[in-house]
Amino acid sequence: MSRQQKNNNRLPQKTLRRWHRWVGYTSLFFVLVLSVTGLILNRTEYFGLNQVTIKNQLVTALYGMGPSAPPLHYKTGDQWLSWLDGRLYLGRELIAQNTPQPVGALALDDLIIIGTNDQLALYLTDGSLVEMIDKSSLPGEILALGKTTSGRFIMTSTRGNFMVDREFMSWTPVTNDVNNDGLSYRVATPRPAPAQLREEILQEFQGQGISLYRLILDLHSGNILGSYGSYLMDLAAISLIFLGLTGLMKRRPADPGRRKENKPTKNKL
Amino acid sequence: MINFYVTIIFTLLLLSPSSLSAGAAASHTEYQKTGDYISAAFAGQPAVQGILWITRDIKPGVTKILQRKNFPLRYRYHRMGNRTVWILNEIGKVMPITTGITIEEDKIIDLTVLTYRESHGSEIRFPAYSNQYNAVQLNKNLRLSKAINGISGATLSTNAMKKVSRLALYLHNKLLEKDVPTTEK
Repeated sequence: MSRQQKNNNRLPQKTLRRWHRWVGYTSLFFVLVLSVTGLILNRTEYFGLNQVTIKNQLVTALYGMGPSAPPLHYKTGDQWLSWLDGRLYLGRELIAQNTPQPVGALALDDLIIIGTNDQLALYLTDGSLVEMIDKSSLPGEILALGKTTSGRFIMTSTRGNFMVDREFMSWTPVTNDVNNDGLSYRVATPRPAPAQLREEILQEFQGQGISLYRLILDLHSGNILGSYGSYLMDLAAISLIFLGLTGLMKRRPADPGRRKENKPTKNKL
Repeated sequence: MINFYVTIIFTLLLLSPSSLSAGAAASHTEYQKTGDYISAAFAGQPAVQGILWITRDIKPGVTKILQRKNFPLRYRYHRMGNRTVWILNEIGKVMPITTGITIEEDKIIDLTVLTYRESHGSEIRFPAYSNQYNAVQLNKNLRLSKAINGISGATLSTNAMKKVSRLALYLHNKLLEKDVPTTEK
């Protein structure tokens, strides 16, 4: 073999070694996570991973189980009405989902009135839905709800203050300064609810937590880091294959004696 | 040469997530204001607004149509003569779809998706789908008189549309049976 040919063979070996080292260093952490979690998952029953539940705040936040906005609590008669990330609770009971953030809620006789910007929801005190009044039947966008001392319902909208009849069919405008009409008008505002209720609602919202099996499985698959995480772990797995293959392709510095010894043996066979 | 190939493979792998994960965000689109829909349904004429209470005789039908026991105790309608307009909300997958349904002579004369809040399946708003409901009636089994073709990828939304159209027809029939609305403005 000529000197030039020898030099040409050395070049890919050198590059291969460099890439092997570079990919090895880069993927070391992820390959470790992949293999350790893989080992643990292989012994799921032995470790009892399904029996362990994690309620850690960091973990629940990672899984998007934490609320995106702080809860709101309104005192509606004897009961508390709470809103948490689209869910409405009357006391501890979930009565509606996918509800926009309320602008006010109050109790009026046997009704609980909940106002969002473009909808007025009427519930009975037992949580049964009476009606959802959409904006086509409202005088304007709702800004606030309130009640006069005489117990009449007042809605503040973008078009002023309005009173409504018992059936919520006919809206009557009230002068902007309600107090001048001799009406004491109190706006329904959120109030701090008892700590126990807050805790119970948050727990209901978050569910029973995450099982350790699910956490390790998501660590293994990379899903814990979101949609990009699985690609990251794919890269780690591919690097592992790459390291294996390049490891096989790598040769030690030439040992001419050994190669010569091997060749005749092959010929003999 | 190896250098080149490896670089290309790694670059492709790194770039692939951004290209694959695009799209699929939840949306909230109002195609038509409810007030405009009602106004157009009665050609700008003022319609009577009323409420229909779900009484004991109506309840089983509503339960059968909606396939659940939780629904409002009353529904609001807009009426002029024998024409009624119902603005109904029904959940497709997770979010409610607001639909306007106009009924006359026990037949649907228009079904329009007013607000769509889901991330997938908004194709139900296209006339190619919604026009299928024109002239559809309710049969004795509280089913639609005509088969409605679904849309691939929007199964839950099309199911919701079938439910609200059946409910509107049912409520319309019950309202005209009683003829005198329980409460009217």
